[in-house]
Amino acid sequence: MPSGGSSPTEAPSSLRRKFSWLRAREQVIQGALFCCALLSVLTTISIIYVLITESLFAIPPNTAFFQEVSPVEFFTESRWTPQYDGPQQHFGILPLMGGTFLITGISAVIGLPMGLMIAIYLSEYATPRARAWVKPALEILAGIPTVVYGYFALRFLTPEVLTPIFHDWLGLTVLQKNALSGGIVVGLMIIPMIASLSEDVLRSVPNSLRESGYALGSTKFDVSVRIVVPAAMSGIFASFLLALSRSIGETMAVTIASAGYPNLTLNPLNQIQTMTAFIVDVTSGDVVAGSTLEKSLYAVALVLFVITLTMNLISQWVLARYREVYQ
Amino acid sequence: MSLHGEVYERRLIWRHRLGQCFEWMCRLATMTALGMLVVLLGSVVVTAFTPGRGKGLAAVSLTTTGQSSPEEMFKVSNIMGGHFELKEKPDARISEFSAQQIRDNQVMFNHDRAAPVFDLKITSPGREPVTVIDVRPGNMPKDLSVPDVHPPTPAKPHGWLTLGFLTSFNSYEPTEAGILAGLWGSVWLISLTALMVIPLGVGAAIYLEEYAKPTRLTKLIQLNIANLAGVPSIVYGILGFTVFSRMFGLFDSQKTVLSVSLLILPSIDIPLPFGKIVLTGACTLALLSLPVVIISAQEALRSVPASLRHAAYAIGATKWQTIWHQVLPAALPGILTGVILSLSRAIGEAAPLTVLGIAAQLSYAPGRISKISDIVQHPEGLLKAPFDTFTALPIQIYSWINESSPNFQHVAAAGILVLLATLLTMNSIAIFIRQHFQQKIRW
Repeated sequence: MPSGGSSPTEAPSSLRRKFSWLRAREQVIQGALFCCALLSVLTTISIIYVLITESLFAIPPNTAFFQEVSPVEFFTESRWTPQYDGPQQHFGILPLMGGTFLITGISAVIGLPMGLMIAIYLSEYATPRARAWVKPALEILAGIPTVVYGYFALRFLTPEVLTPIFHDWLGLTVLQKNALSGGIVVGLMIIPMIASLSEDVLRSVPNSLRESGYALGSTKFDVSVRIVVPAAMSGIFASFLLALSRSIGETMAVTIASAGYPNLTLNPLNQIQTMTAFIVDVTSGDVVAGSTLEKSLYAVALVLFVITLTMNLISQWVLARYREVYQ
Repeated sequence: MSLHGEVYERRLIWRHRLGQCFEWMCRLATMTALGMLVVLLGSVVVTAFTPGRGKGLAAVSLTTTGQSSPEEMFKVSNIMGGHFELKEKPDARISEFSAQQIRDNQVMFNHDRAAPVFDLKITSPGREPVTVIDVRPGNMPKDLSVPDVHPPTPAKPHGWLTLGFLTSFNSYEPTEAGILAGLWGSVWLISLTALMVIPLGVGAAIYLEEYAKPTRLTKLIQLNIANLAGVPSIVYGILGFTVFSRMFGLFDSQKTVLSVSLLILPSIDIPLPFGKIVLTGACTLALLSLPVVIISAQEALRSVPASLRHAAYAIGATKWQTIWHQVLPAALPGILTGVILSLSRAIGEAAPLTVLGIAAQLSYAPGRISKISDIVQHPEGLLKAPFDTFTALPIQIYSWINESSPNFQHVAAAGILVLLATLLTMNSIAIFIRQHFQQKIRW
């Protein structure tokens, strides 16, 4: 892509494009920068290539995962026992998906309302002083590595909070690794994300809307909940989607706090296995290269990738549409 | 229909109350989130500075009253809560000892948690062996007495975050465990990541902001970057595993070694495929943090006013001269802030590294450089380090969390404090840059 002006009429000879080292350098630099930008496309292509060649179609001498295991079994079988051999080996992703969605569900119950309320507080109620305190604190919360959240869930939340409540009071069995503690910390993790994204969209709602609300005699509550939030609804929805896609892809906290064996259960006090935790579980041992177990990693990663990508795309689409409304 | 008088007033009061209620709920949500942050950090700090349970050594007074002879032998099995050892040879676990040894106070019981429980088999010459199952202080045959268990001494009276922790490699003994390998590993990992991600990320951002015309391709690249930022880190791990660690299985699993020697520099051995070396991890983390770096650098470039560019063009600068001499310096604080923040994210990433199969604990640092003075002694280590195997802070912490011995919990907490301190340092550098340069530059 050549840049620079080309004159519509015949240019004087001194302005004609002649070879000069300076111009050549400009072109080389532009080409190099373009390659940098292209690298991101290359990354996406290689992610898709790697996931697809190992799971959908392989290059002939090898076989792909779905050529060894039928997709029907993969999506309908309710047992996930890839480590076994022979007839005991089942590849049904339902337990892993169940585990992932249990964690995501718990994190949504905790993270979405809290994140939204913090966003409303920050954009509508908080004084500048309070904002100056809360925003950096939320950034810290967002910056804490996920292993630390896992540690917190496993060594504090489960023994000090959940066990006293559910075991000592209510007499339920709380396993050392349980979905609830993992879900809670993942919920905590997505709060800063929802809060900051939603706050941005709430603040971008024009003040004229708020003022017309007040002019009609609304209270502050009416203005925030019945005018500002509905006006920013699509942006809030987009932030929810992004946050949920993050909690689906969340790995270390869940692996540490909740992951045990694949278990199709709705009991949050039980251990579960998520798609991400399965990948960590298998790769932390030695996998035989080319085995079905190894290929199942790619199949699971592909499912994970497709789910999160779809959610991200939808949320971007929603955000892009929303931006046009007030401009 | 309109509301008048009392009804209106009552409804108004009710509406205001609802509003106040809601405001307080919002406040409560904020305070809960921040409270959880405090509890999280607090629990880590408290655990890191709890002394922990050390060794409790107790002399064993296991004697059968009455006709105990020196030849009488005791055999213990299924011991819970510690182990028996000889006073002269600590840490050599024994399961058989004689009455004579006990009488000489030679047998010690070493425990790190509660009272001992074990099974005991007594054999003495000329008699049937006696087996006692589940020996414990409260459950004793009347002619036996078990060791008095003294409370164990604190393992680390001054907490676990000590100088020794920072300057030693890991050990199976929690009190001896250190984080040195992870610290050096993370330093190498993040330096190499930065070396790759800064030019690539800033270059891509410059292209997209300064050169690209709004074509379909540009839109596609932009959309693609936004989507890559949302791809779970573990998927990058799978990518790095296949592309860098295994290299698509192009090479033998028997490692091919590529020896590279450059002029005066000592030769370096590069394993092919890369396997679990620092470079693999750095490439993976670079791809992972690239989208975030591009996005933040783009924002920084966008905030540079157009007048600056126009002024440069007006005095005859070329596009690249304008960018290099005017736009980049102006955008540098913003770019640096974004880069440092995304690198501090990358330091804490454990998921992609576990997928790469990075060693959890090692007793050496990359390039065998574990002290600054090592660089002087064997400088070739600096070249070898990127191709050496390594471990990283979050990986070490993860492996400590999974240890069963309760004392490793304290070690993990101390490790977390080191990791958080690293992040805090990086973030404060970013904040410092932001503050420092924001005051200088006014448009």
